Amino acid sequence: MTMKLTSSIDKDLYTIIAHCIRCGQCTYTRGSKYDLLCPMYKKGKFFAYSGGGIVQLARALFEKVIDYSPSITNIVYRCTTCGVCEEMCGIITFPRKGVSPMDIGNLIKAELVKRGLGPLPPHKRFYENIVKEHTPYDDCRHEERTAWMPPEIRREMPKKAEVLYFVGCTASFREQDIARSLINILRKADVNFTVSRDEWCCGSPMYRTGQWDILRDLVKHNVEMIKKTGASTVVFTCAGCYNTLKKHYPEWYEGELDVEMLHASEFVVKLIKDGRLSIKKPIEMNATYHDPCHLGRGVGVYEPPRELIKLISGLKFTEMERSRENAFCCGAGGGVKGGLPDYALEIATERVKEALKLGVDTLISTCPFCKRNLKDAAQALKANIDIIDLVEILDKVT
Amino acid sequence: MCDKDIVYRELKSIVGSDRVTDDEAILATYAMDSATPLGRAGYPSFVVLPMTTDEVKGVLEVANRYKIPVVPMSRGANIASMSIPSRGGIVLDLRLMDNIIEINTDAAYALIEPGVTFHKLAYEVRKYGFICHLPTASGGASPLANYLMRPSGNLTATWDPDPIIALEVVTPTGYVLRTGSASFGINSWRARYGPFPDLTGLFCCSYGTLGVITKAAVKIFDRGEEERLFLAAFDNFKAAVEFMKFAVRRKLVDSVTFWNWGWCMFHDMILSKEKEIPPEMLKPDQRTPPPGHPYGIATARMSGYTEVVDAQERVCKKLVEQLGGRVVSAEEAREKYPGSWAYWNAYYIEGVHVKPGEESQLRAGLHLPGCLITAEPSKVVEVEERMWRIAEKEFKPPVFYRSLPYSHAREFFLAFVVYATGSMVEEQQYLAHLRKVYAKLYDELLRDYGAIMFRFRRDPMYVIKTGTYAEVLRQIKRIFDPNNIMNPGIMMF
Repeated sequence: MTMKLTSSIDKDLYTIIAHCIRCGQCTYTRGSKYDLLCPMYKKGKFFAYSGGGIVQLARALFEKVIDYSPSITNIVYRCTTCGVCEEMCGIITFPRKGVSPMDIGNLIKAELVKRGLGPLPPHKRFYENIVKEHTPYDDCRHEERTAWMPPEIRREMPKKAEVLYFVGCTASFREQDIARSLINILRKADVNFTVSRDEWCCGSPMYRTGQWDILRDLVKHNVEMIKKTGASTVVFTCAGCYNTLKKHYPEWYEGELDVEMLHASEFVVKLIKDGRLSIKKPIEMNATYHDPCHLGRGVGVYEPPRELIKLISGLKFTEMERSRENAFCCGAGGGVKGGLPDYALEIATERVKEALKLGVDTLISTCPFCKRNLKDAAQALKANIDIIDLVEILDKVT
Repeated sequence: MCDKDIVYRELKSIVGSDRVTDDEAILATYAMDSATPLGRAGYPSFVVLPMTTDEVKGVLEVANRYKIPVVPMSRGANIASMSIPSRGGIVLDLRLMDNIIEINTDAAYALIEPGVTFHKLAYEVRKYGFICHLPTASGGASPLANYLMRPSGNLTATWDPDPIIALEVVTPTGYVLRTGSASFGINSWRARYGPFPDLTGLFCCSYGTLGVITKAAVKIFDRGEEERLFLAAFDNFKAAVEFMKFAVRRKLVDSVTFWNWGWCMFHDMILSKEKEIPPEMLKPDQRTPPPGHPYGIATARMSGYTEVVDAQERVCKKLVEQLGGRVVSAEEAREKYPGSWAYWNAYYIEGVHVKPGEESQLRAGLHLPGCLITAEPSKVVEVEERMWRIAEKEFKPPVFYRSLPYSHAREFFLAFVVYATGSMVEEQQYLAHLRKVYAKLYDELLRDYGAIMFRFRRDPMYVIKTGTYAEVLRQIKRIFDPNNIMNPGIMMF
C-alpha cells in the first residue's frame, strides 16, 4: 500500500478511516498466539500510540475535534513504520482502498511538516544533507558514495550493465562490508553488473518523516539513473531502499519504469538455481534470522533468506518465536533511529534479547539499517552475539 | 466543578505520571468509535491506565470526590459507543490489566482481568484442552466486557449460555466487592450462587454504570474427544427454528446458529477479499436467495466422545430431513461458501477467530446499526417476517441476519443487520433514519411479540417500560454510585 504524494486527510480517506473499531488488532500477531508487536504501542501504552490510535487521530483531525499540534508530532514520530498494522488490520484495509494505519501516520507526518510542526530536528538535518549531498547521513560527500569499493573494481565498473546494484546510503557510507560482500558475490557468479556513482538517497527517510516535497526529485533522479545504466534488473541489499523503489516508486514516478527489482537474497537464490553460484565452504555458526520489516511485511520476502541460510553447511539455524509476518521490529525505521535514538535502541534491545534467549552466537539480517541498530543494541547489552548481514556470510561461503 | 490541575495531580499520585494523560491528541483517540456519529465525539478530560485493583479504587475515589464521570473501557473494541465519554470525564482504560490470573481446569474456569483479549484467552485455554465462549465480537475484544453484556453467540449457547461466574467489582463509594464463591474470601471462584442473592447478575448488562469490574471468573469447557461441524440448509426460517429447538432440547448439539444466505455470502466476501460487494447482495429483494442458494444454513457444533457425536450426527440428519431441510456436505460448503466454511471451522472447531487480520467478526463492526432482539421460538419466526417487511421499506441492501437459541431454546436471539459504515454525511443521514426506525421497532416488537432488546441501546424510555424494576434499579444505583459518575452517557439511569 502506498500514499500518493498529493494525498490528504480528505473525505475519501475519511470514509475509510471511520471504519476503525479500535479493536487493537493492528498491534499484535497473526495466528492464535497473542503477542504485542507494535513497538510504539508497547512503549507508549495509550491507544494513541498504535496504528488504530493514529487512525483515530486522523479521524479527529478530519472532524476538527483537534488541530495539528506538537502533541501529535510526539505521537506519530514514534512510529517505526514496521508495518504490523498494515499486516494485521482487517478493517480499514478491508475496503481495499489501498491505505493502512501506517500510511495514515506517514500522511499525518507530511501534514505536520507542512505546518511547521514536524519533522523532529535531526530529520531536518537529513533533508539538508540530502539536498546537499544526496544522502541523509552527516559528514558524507556524494563524491565518496562509491569509496567503499576497491579502487581496481571501481575503475573497471561499466556505465551500462544488465544488473544494477542499488547500494543505498547505509551500505555506501556506514555498513560498507555489506556492499563489498555483494559485489564479491556478483563477481564470483560472473554477473554483468554495475554500481552507479550517481545514486541518490531512495527517499525512504523523507517519506517516512513526512518531508515529501523532495521526493519527486529523488524519485525522478534515481529512475533516470537506473534507465541510464540500461539495467533490466536492480538488486538491493537495503530492505528500505528495496521497499521504497518496488512499492512506492510506481505510484510516485510519473513515467514508466520497466525493470525487475530483487532483493539480494532473491537474486542469489536465482544465481544458485541457475548454477552460476554455489555454496562451497562450510561455516561454524549458531544463528537466527531477523526479518527486516521493509523486506518481510513490506514486500513479502520471507523465504529466500531462509532458503540460503539452510543451504550453508555448518550453520545451525534456529527460528525466533516472532518471525516472518510476526517479526518484531529492530526499531530503526520511520526516522526513529535518527530522531529518537534512545527509543530506537530500546526496541532493538528487546529484539537482541529475543535472539540471545535462543542461545545463538549470530543474528543475521538482510538490511544494513537493521544490522546497524541491532549492533548498537548488542553493544549496549555487551552481548556476545555477532550481528551480520546475510550477504557477508554468503561472501564467505561461496 | 473542580480544578483540572488538582485532579490531574491526584490521579498522577495514584498511577504515576506515565499512566495518566490530559494530552489533547491522546484524548482524541478515546473520543470516538465506529458508531459515534460524525461530529459527536465525546472528549474526555483524562485517560488513566490503571494496573491494579487498588489503582482503580484510588481513581474512583478521586472521581467520586469531585463528581467526575468515569467511563471504564476494557479494550475499546465496542462498536456501539458504550465506552465513549459522551459526558467527558475520565476514561479508565483497563487494557494494561491483562493478566489471566488462573486457569483452573479442575473447576473449569479462568480468572481474568478486563484487558485480556479473546485471542489471548482462547489461546491459553486451548493449551489445556479447553475452549472458551467465543462471541461475534472481535478477537481483540475483552471477554470480560463482552461476557458481561451477554455474548451474542457462543459455543455452548444451547446449554450453558452465561459465561460469567463471579466478579471483583470496585464501586465509586470505595467498595471492593467479590461475588459468588469468592465472596467468602476463599481462593475459589467456581460458583456464581451461594446461600445469598446473586450479586454477580447485578453487574451483568450494567455497562459500567455500577462500578468497575477488575476480575471475572469465566467458564471454560472441555473440548472433548471429537469436535464436529454439522451443516443443514433450510428454505425457510420456521423450519430452521424448529430444527434448532429440537437439536438443542434433545441434546444433539452444543451450539447452533442459523445464517441467512446474505450472511453466508458476507463471510465469503470479506474472507475472500473480493473487490466489491457481490451483486446478489445488492438486489432489491434481500429476502429471496439467489438461484442455487438455500434460504440459509444452520451450523452446529457437536463435541464429546466420538461414538456419541456419530450418533448425534445421524439423529440430526434425520431431524433435518423430517423438517424438509437437507444436510450440507463439507465439499458443498467449501465450494459454495469458502469464506463461511473457513470461519465456521475456526469458530466452532478450533475455538478461535479466523485469521485475526481477516476475521469476519471484526468487520461485523461495519453493520451499524443492527436490530438485535430475543424472543420465544414461535415469536422469533414472526419477528423475522416483520423484519423483512420493515427492511423492504426502510433498509438499503445488503440486509442479512442470523439467529440462535439460548438456554435450552427457551428464547432465540435474532440480529438483523445492514451494511453501513456511517462514515459520511449521507450515510449518517441513513443511520439517523435507521435509529429512528429501530427505536419505534423495538417498541412494536415488544408490544406485538414480547421481543426484548438484546443489549441496551441508550434509550431511556426503554428502561422506563420496566416500571418497578427500573425504580428498584435506580435505588441500587444510588447505593453503589450516589453521584451518578459511572458511565452516565449510557443513559440507563
